[in-house]
Amino acid sequence: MHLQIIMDRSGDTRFAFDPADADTTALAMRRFRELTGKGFRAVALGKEGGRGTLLREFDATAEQTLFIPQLQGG
Amino acid sequence: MNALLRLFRAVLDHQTPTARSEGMLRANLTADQLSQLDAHGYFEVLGGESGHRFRVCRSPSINVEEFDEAGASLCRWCLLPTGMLPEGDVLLAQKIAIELFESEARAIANVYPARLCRASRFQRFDVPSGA
Repeated sequence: MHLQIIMDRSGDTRFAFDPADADTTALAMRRFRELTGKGFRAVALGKEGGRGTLLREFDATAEQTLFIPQLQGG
Repeated sequence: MNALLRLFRAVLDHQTPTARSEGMLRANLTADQLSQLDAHGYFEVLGGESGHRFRVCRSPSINVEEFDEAGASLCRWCLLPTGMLPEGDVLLAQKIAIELFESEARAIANVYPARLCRASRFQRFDVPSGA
């Protein structure tokens, strides 16, 4: 199972999907588009803290996709 | 009884936003970054575009310090994700922003001159002789 992890006030909210299953993958794609449309940045997390990859499009092969809310200056 | 209380507290702590975000942060740091965080309360990241070294500190604001190639402090950034996220999430978002979209992050951040912030171990000083 692959994970979509959304940062939020609770720490994070996680959704699993099976890339071999068309229904859950379609849901994951829709979630990706909704979140990135709201300004979240999507990142395929790297292994063991290594550098990840910024995703502009949904990637069903990414094992863990982290969604980071829009950034602002403080 | 004490052991039971400790177990109960551990379960509760694990479910707090702070604990959850800390767990996610720690899972996404390198071994070196984790050691730095535990020993010093900060970890260092290389800018994906500038190659500069950044220090991300446990602090509520203005907690990202940028260093030049020679190790001199250039400035401090204040850059936060929206949504009142717990600390671990904020630090992880800052690490990823520096690594993966440094220019965009720089454009968004409020940048403060290093001289206006407290000194750090890597900062160079022009100390007047006799001071």
